[in-house]
Amino acid sequence: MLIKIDIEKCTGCGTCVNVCPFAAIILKDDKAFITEACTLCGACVDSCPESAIIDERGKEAIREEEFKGVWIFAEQSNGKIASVAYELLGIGRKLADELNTELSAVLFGPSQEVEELIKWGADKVYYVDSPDYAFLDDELYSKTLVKLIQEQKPEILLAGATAIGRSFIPRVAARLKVGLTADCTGLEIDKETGNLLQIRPAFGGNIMATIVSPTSRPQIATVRPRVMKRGEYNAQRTGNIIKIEPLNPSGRVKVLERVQDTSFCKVNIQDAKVIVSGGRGLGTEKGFQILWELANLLGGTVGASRAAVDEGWIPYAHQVGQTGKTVCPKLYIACGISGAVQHLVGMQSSDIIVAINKDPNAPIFNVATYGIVGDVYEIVPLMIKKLQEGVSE
Amino acid sequence: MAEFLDIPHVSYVRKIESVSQSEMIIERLMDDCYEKIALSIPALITVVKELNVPRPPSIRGKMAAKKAVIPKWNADDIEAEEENIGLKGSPTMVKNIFAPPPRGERTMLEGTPDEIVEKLIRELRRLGCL
Repeated sequence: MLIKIDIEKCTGCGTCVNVCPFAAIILKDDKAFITEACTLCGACVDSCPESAIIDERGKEAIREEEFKGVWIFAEQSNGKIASVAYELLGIGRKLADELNTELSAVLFGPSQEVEELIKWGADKVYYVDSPDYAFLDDELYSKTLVKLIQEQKPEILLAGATAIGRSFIPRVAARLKVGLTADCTGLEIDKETGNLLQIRPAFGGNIMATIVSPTSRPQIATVRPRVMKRGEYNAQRTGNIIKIEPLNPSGRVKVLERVQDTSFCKVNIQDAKVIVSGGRGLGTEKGFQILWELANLLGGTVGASRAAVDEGWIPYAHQVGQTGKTVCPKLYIACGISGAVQHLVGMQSSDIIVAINKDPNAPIFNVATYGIVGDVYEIVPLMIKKLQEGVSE
Repeated sequence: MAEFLDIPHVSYVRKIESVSQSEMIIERLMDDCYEKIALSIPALITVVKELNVPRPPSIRGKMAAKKAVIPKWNADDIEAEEENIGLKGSPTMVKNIFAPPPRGERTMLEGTPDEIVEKLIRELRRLGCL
């Protein structure tokens, strides 16, 4: 919004509330808050005795109309394009259609799968196939992407909230001096202004916030894997693949070696269809043994809450939640997890959630499709036994 | 920050193997593996939990902390330009906040542990989860 309240200066006197002809200002926690009803008329600006209302309507001019097109950044690892790239193409296609513009993908590093981006919905692919781009080099990636953005001027850029996207996209936003909204769970176009509405959980998921970058272009957002759905696949779809000249790496960061086969790498919990997750309620590291047993029986893997990881019972790669991974399996079984909001934001979009907990008031039951008040050490072994017997067929 | 300072950065560092005059060898956690990286310094790194276990504070340290004078700086002290900081300096802004939509159907399974588990397995079979 182009009129905003400086919360620090605002005394909550309510003068602006009475002045606003559209009843678009309300008092929340003794501070003025401008709601969506605001028409940017500006009546409130001079009314404030504390000069706490900031008027940036003049800034609108900065926004260049020439910015056009929706871009997604397609990341690859060992030449394989990450699943999140196709999910971004799904939402990107929707946004581009709504804006009546093109959808382009940007791919850094050699990959045999570049055509796939077109088939999943891209009109164009900007492709750098130099081996210098095979691994993430933050400086090289951001320099190249910034140069491309300055030449082509897209209005929206989406990237995965992954180890790669989270690392170098902030660098791109900083260099361009534009806004970036991380970990969005919803993206829409504001029909009136054409701004990208970036929806994400705030304050640990207790509340959702809609964020806009009204005065800067491109609008940049990252999206966690498994949050968006893929679009339509069309093997006959055609598009342009535009090769981009590589830049020279600065050499300040050099990847010496990639190590794939240690214990924590085996788990990519984001790809699992079934996750059996354990928390502090397990009481001991040994508890994870029965969870593994159940997970193996169900063809799944094991996840954990932050509490269990902090206790050192299981490596960080298994952590689900705000500071871990976001997962979206078909079946999520939470064992001895109370369900702090930070955990819930990482798993609540799972198809079916089963919660087992001793405490009937545990917040995990608020999101559970099936809740069981009971002892994990009684219920889980019973499940294992009955599954092995093939009971109730 | 690294971009503004024009220094390299590496995120998700899980291990610092060695530091020399001009470079450090570190391990970066990626989504599907980890990478061993040589990084020239000065540099900025962000780390994950595995990097280190903080040592417990010593009694002597606690005493020193009590007496320590910690300077507090504000925007003027560090000569930050008002245009570039806080709400004014941020290109993003919160347009609206709302409560997250509630999740669909919820059922509490009751009975003896035996009954509960059978009910659960039956339900999961019905939904095609097993």
